[in-house]
Formats: sequence, structure tokens, C-alpha cells
Amino acid sequence: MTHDQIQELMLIYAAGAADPDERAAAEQLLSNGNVVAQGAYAEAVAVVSTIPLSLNPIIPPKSVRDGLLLRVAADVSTGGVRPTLKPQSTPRGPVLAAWFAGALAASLALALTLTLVQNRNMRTQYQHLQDRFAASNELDSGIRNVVSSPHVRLAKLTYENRPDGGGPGARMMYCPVSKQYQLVVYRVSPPPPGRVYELWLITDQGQKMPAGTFTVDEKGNASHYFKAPRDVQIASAAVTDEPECGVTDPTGVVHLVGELR
Amino acid sequence: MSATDDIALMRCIAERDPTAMRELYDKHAGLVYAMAMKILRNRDDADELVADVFWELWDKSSRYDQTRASPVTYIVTLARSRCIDRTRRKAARPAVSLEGADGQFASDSGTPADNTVLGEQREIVRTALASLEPNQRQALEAAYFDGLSHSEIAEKYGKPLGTVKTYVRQGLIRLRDKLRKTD
Repeated sequence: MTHDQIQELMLIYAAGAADPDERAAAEQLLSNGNVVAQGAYAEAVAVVSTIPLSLNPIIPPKSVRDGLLLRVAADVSTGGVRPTLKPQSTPRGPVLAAWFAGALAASLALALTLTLVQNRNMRTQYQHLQDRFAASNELDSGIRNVVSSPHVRLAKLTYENRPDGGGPGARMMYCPVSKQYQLVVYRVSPPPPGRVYELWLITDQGQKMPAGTFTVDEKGNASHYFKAPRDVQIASAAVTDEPECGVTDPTGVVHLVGELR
Repeated sequence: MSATDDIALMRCIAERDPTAMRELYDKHAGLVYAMAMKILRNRDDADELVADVFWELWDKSSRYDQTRASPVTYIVTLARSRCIDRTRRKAARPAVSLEGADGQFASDSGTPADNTVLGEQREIVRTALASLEPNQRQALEAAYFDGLSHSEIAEKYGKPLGTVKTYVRQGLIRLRDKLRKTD
């Protein structure tokens, strides 16, 4: 097989168009350590990977970004040793090195011009959440379940008639499929003496479902998890202050409220 | 932003830096999502695909080897592979075609500098693809976006196998040569 034939084979293989016999031939060349084939393949991958660059970028839904970043934050908070990048491998020879260098240079040149910057409005908000996660050891199995869901969403709960400008408030992470809800409260004043905060999940029919009580630490922070029945449709959430034992219907002042879209 | 920046981001991700993950996502999620919409033709599947690809970049960050490919090449290759896997797992694809996959939902976000260099790169690739014969381009897109082999493309379009091979081979060679000239 000539160099040109190998290059063509690798282009076809990288593009995914190779039939089984061509694929087998390509893979055999690569697994045998054929230097020309490896270099041609690296270049072919770089060429083929430019094809989607002709597409206009499309911003994914915000919930995708939210879910991913929460999952990453949870992963960081829950620990685990992350291996570092592979060290640069020693080239097998000058020809291979030249091929890889050429291919890498081609890839880098192509990639130099690629950049996609998207909506950054939520960055500060997520950084804030991540800092909170890092500072807290309250990431129990409940919150891990919520944030690891591919359907995870994020909503704000705010004080009624008060702008959400860095003051007290809450974020609700939830999975509308598994009906798991994780409330993170920050900078909220302690409840009145003898009372606690109670979370309410409100169905699309307006029914208020008690979702547990909680209080806040000295900084006004709290984390509260609740799993609702799967057959209810939750439309919003609210936090009221209630007697310490909790109640089945809200009686106290509404402190926080927000829609769960 | 350059490929060097992307390599630095990949290195930071390997060291578990969530800020780097945010940066990488904000730079490349639009491209991955456009690919997913084009290949999967289903918004929900595309949503999951983007989440899966970027989670894999985070969770299996040690797999990236900067001596083998640029980060963009790696991301695009990974995204395409996962798209094709997902397509093959589905017995039937939905008939609904999302017109936005070809740009109607194009983002106009990003800094002016980012958009300028991105626009230039996009133009280079578009020009290169536009220079192909329609049959070459069609065969190439069927191979790349639909994951079809020569035989499958021949069957899909009712063309002789040899003709399809020629289309794909010539299309790829012309694309490669056009890109080489712009390097």
C-alpha cells in the first residue's frame, strides 16, 4: 500500500465511511504501529473534525449547563482523586514525531480560531453555590442523588417583594422526574423563638404539601432534602415559619417562595 | 481563546478545577449541541448528549492525551462518537426534523473577538465544503453526521458502491487539501 493509499484509507476510516474490510485494514495498520498510518490517521481526524465547525453553534438549554455544573460541584465536594493528564509519550522515532508534530500543529491551527462563549449570567450564582458546597459537609446521599440526575434543574426562592440582590434567599435543586428536592438556604435570619422553617411543595392544583422542617446555622445557611411522591406535579415551593413540631397546613408567615418550572 | 488555552483548561479539568469545566463548556457546548441536533434530530436526546459528553470530559479527563489531538478535535470526535452510538441504539429515529440544526438557532453570544475568529474558521470550513461537488458533500455528510458506511450510503442514495467510494474519497481529499492551504 502506497502512502497515498494509506492516507486515503485513514481519511475514510476517520470519517466513519469505511466498510468492514476497510475498517479492518485500517485498524490492522494502526495496531501494527505503522508510522505512516498513524500520522495519516492523526491528520485525518483533524481534517474530519472540522466538518461540524461549519454548523452554527446552538446554545443548549440552561438546564443542561445547570445540571452539569451542579454535578461537577458535587463531584468535587464529595472528593475522589482525579488523575492528572498523561505525560507526553516518548516518540517512537523521528518520522513518527514529525507526523505527530505536523498533525498536532494542524489541529492547533484549526482549533486556534474556535471559540464559543455563551451566557455567563449564572456564573456568579453557581460559583456561590459551589463555594457553599465546598464549605459544607451536608452533601448527603440525597443531594448526590439530585445533582447526579441528568434532569436536574435549579430554581430561585426569594423573599416576596424583595429583590434578589445578594441578600437572603434560597436555591432549589430538583429532579422533576424522580421528584427529589434539595433546598439550599443562605443568609436567612433564624426563625422566631420556638419556631422552625417548614418547606412546602405546592402542586399545580394549588395543594400545599409539607416537605419537612429545618432551621439555619449562625450564618443563616441551611440545606434540606425532601423526596416527594412520583405522582404529584410540583409547580412551586415556599418556606414558612411554623411551630417546632411542624404542621400539615401552613399557618405562619411566608418567607421564601419560587416557581419550580 | 486558542488551542493552547483549551489545553490549559483540559489540564485544569484533570486537576478537578470546576471553573475550568465551566470555561470549557461555555466555549464548546454550542458546537457539541449543534452536532447533536444535526445527528440526533431530537432536542431531548441532544440535551442528554451534551450533558453526557461534558460529564465524560470531566469524569474521564485522564483519557485526553494532548500529544494525540487538540482539545477541540478530541471533543468533536467524542461528541460524534457518542451521537452515533446513541443513533444506532435507537431502532427508529423520529421523523421530526429540526431545522435549527443548520443554524436557525445560532448563537450570537460571545465576545466580538471570539465571534470574529469563530466566524473566520467557520467560513474556511464552509468554503471548503462548498467547493465540493454536491454528490461529494452529500456523501461526506452522510458518512460524518449519519455514521453511514460506503455501502450504507450507496444503498440510501441508490448509487453504485464504487461511485460512492469515489465521492467520499475525493470529497475528503479536497477538504483536506483546502484546509492545508489555509494553514
